[in-house]
Amino acid sequence: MDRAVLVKKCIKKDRKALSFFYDTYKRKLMGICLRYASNHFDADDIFQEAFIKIFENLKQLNEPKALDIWVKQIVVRTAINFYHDAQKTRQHLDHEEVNEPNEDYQKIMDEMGANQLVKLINQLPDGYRMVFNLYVLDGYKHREIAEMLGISENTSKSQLRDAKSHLKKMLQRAGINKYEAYV
Amino acid sequence: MSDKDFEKLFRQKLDGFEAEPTTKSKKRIFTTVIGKQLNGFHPGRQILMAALLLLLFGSMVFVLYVRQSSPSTKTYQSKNINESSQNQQSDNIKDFNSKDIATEESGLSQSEAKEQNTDMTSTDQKSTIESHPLESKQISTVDPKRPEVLLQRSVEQDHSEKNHENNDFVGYGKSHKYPGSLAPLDWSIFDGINTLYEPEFSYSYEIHEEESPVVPQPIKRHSLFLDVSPILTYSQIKPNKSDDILVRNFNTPSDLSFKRLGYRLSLGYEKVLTSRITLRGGITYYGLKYALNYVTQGSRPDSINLLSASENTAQYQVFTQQTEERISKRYGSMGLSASLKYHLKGEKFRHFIVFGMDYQRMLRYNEFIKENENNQFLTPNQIYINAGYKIERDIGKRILLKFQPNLSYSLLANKNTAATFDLKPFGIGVGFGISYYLK
Repeated sequence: MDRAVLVKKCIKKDRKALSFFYDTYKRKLMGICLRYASNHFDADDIFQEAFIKIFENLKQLNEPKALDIWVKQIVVRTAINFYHDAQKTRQHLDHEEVNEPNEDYQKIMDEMGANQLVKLINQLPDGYRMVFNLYVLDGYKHREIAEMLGISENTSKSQLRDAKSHLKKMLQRAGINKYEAYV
Repeated sequence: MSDKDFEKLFRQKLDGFEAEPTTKSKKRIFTTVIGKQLNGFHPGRQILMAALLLLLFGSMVFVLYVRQSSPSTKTYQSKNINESSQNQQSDNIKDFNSKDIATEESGLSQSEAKEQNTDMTSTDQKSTIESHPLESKQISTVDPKRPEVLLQRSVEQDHSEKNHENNDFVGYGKSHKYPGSLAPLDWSIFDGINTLYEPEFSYSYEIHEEESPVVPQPIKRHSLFLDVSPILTYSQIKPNKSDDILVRNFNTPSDLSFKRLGYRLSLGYEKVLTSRITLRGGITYYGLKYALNYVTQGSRPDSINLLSASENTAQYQVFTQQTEERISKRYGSMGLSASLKYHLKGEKFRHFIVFGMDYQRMLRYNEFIKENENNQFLTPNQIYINAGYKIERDIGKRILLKFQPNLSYSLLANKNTAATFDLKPFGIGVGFGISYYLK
């Protein structure tokens, strides 16, 4: 179905069009949500909230060709809002010092599936996870991240650095565990 | 490995990463996005319903007033030459019959009668009526072409001067004034005709419209009614094929359970249109109950665990999340109803079939929820079609009792995209009612 037509029908709340739209984007958007959330439940909440925003704001989409980017942006912004809300209720967590492991991550990651990597990302502290997703996986710049998360650029950079350190450590552990699992 | 390579490694691995949302996500999203829209009832449907109701009640009003303005009993006078042109056709029928009767009564041959009739026709152009109230007979004749016509003839052998003086003519128990422009004529000019018509008489005929020898002409034509009908509610379930959710293990109350028992109240006005057809309209209230348990699960497994693997075999454990859900419906709705009642047979116990339509607006539809999610679920506007068999009996001059098994079926489903299925309620009940004749 042509995207412009699809969007028009969705704006009119056409049941079949909405269902088609949902089926088209659900897996992709849920993937993004899972990366940004710390667990599956939070990912579900972000996913639902994001999709509701998408359906209710389709009128604001000026260019149907940019639908994919627009949809992704809404999901990312919803995840960020979720992060802000969570920050208000959660206590600040002290981060443990991470020693730089010296391992062959390429080899470890080759053996890991995307799901396992996402689970590692989920285990990152909220701020680290947000910055890592935004910078590494979604291509935002530190200036934009700082603006979206309400932090300074330097904080964004340092959190990215710490996030990567955490991930390397977890990868190392995961690699060993994985090795043990196959024994 | 540098940081850049590390990032690149993640990008490569997670590029296009996708995951399946839970089965309930779609339901919740669509409940929020579309549920409100459906509950708000689409404007197009509102217009359609309004037009339908207007049509029904407009036709009811039209039938009531138009039929009141045109009398159901018409009286014709054989020699009335001053009838309007609209009645000329009826007069022709009447004249034809009067000629036959005149022939029969006077004992004249057909040719003589024809001659007389010719004379009469010529003189009809300027004559008026004579009434002779000495003799009155009632003859019922059935014309094969007009079996519904009852012909009544009044043979009046005594000339009534009073009627002439008052410009009246006799017509089936009623006297009708001529229009003011019609002055009494000089009766002497009819002396010749009167001679031919020995003994002198005139005829008046009454034609009963739509009268049937089987079904008597109803006299009591307007009434108010109050009907009460206990209703057992059932639902037609239509699965939503687009949500990837399997619904199974439906568990409903027994067919005659009190959990299904509701009622229907109707108050309205009833107008007899013909000997067989009656129009009914009024206000209806539904109080319905319904309950349903079922289990939902996704069409795809939520997780698969590898239990054991060898070179040739693998043993998996598949997990699919199942949720038991319950719908408990107890709602009240009020609206307008219109129906037609067709008389099948009977005089003392009159048998009818009834077809009608109800437009209902839910008053307490928010009580229809999926209890474990607290979601509103119901389309607040309903259109029911009704069919029933009704037996009526008069128990006095003005009171009528009735008994009616009936079926109500909703044309609109309780739609909600988020729902795993749509429900179309229908009810079966046995109604009792009372009517009060207005006149």
